[in-house]
Amino acid sequence: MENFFISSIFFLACIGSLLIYYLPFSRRLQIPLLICVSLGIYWLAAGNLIFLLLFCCVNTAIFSYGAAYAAIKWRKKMMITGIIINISLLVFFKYKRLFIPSTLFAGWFGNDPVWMGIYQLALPIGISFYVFHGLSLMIDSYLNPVLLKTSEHSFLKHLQKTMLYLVFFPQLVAGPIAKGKFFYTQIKPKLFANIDWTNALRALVQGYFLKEVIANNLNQLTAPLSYPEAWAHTASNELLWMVIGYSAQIFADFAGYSLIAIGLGRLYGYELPINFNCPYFAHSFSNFWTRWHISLSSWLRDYLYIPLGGNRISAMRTYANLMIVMAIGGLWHGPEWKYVTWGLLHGSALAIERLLSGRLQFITIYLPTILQAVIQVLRILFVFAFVTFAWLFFRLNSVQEVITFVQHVQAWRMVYTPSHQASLLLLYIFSGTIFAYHLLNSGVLSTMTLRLKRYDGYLAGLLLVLCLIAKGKENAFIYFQF
Amino acid sequence: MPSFISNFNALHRQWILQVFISFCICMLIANAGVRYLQKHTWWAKRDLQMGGFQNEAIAEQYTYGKQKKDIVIVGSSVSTQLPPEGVRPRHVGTIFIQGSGGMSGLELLVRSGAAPKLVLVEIDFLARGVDIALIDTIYTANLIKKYIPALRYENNLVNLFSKRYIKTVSLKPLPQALMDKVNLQLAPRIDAELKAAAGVALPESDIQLLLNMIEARTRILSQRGCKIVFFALPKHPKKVDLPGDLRWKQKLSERFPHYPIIEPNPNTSYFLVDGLHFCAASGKAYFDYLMQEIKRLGL
Repeated sequence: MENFFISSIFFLACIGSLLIYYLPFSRRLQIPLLICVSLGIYWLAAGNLIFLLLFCCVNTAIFSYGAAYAAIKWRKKMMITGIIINISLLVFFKYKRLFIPSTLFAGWFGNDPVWMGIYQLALPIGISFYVFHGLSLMIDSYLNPVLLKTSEHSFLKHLQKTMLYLVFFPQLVAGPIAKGKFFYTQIKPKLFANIDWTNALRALVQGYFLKEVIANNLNQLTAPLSYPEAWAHTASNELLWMVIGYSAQIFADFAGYSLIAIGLGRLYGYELPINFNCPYFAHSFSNFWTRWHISLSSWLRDYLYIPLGGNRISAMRTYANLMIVMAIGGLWHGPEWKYVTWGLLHGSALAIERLLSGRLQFITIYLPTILQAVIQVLRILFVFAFVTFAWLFFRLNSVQEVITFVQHVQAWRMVYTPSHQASLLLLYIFSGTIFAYHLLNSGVLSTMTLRLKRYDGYLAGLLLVLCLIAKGKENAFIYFQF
Repeated sequence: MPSFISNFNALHRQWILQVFISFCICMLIANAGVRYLQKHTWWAKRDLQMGGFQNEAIAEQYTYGKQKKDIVIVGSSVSTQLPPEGVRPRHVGTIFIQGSGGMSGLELLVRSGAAPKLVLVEIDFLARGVDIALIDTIYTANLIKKYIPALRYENNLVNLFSKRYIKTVSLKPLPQALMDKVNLQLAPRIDAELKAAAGVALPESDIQLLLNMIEARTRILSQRGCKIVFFALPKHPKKVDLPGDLRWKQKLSERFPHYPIIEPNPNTSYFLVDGLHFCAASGKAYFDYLMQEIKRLGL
């Protein structure tokens, strides 16, 4: 699955399935066909773990159906039961090693090979995504039963739609996390005549460019971050630029994947939610979280932060909610404490910002426009610096490594190796490209962007050529591991 | 027009036409540029092996352009400075594959149909076998890459950039104080490595399999008239004559008695920057020593 989205098998499967999908006589079979193609792809990548995905689909279908159609007193219970089962799956398969050491587990089950085999099972690909999809559908079915009732009152039809929602291959392994109410209503036979070719291909070209050219090359340039023993031999400014490069890489990698998923979705007639909106141009932390991994942050906001009380309660409770939501958001990325630390770091930043924002706004309002603009730029730089620093917790293996790394940067040591200059220049170029990408998409240059849009087909052709002649060494999408 | 494709309206057509025109023009420019650079500029003079340069590019450098070298050295990244780029004689070609070893180099020689007079094979990392993924990448769409050089990894824009900006390494010997400091820092890591490797031995069946792989490739090269010479790399003093290395060398000399093995001169010390890889000056010195030994052997 690692390089599946760039393999020839993938392109053949896509073209083949698209051809059959849109044949006039296969319109009734579109949904089963898409489910089969998606399951086939997942089976190639995950093997027997497909049964876990199928179990999750059936569970979600049963309890979301119950949450919509059962008697009023049972609806909530149905939703809660479904949620508990889905979360248990996620906790057991993803977080068991974090909370239960292998020795304790062996003690419980007496080294039983079957249980130990289950304990040692690899993390099922995409489990965080399909479980969150399932939860979304169950909650939406309870809160808005009309969602399901607009379709035929048949459990089998609902099962089919639920399966497609959970297994739809562009979003199966790394999102975007389309909410139930957003995707479910789109499930119906599609017409070839309705394909938005230009936007679909535009998203695909941009996505492949971001992944193949920017993210893959930056992955090589930032590779020394994985070798703490090499930091002592690396110039401090190069180390610093590697972190900035990683910041650009994780954006290019994930935004690239999301755009590929959106483009593929459009080819099959489905609209997936936008996942990134120039996040490194955010002027505050709360603004950053409305621009970065939008589908996850809005999921956490709608299904966790608001039910916890959101910001309509006391200030202290609001701060606590922010910390809880961000810690869970961090933990969602992986069963390691470093992700929790990353989440708490962002949670703290959000809480402090909330505490100070009123006062800062009061001060800046009386400043001249030019000073306000300067402050705005400084705020963007500060948010970017903080977010980039926090990525160290993603990239490095432990908090101790982060501290060692910071010490190496602080030492401001200059070491010139033959490759030093070339690496630095390449880091500037690729990180700069991400800056330019933000600039073009942020609306700062709105008039120019609008004029350029008429000719962006030429730009797409250039990007395609760059995908062939400037691509980096293949590596897996970063978010596939989550 | 059938109704099911009736949405393929003028806007879509215009956009796709733009993409197509731009793609063709950019591809033509890129290809012409690569061909020009290959013939007229600094391009051909550079023969980078490592330092941010990708394995694919290194392998393609040899496969597509450098098959007429009299001597070819195949090995792992540890051999990279044999000799450093700036002082590499014109008749010497190198294929050093990072993360793999001499076996991948042998495989490339076999596949490319090359017939150098002498092939020097680094023996230290032969056990890593062939990097099949790399070889497949090189030979995938081989014909297209042959006629559209812009599509080769060696001509990848990033690799071109590296070729332009990576400076030739300095051959100036490093200060003794720095070497002592590095050796001191390395000591605990090497102790840990030795501790981890103690008692771990390659099974006999694996050794036989590797020897068979070497035999299959060297036989083909010998049939093409190549002479084969093995060479061992200098080691950090703590790693000299480890039982595993001695056993491997013994097996090699038993299976290939007609291929000489050149051992490092015990009276010369080489500085290994991380306990493994040569510094440029040491790489040059060891390369000179290898050439002397080849002359002495009458090859």
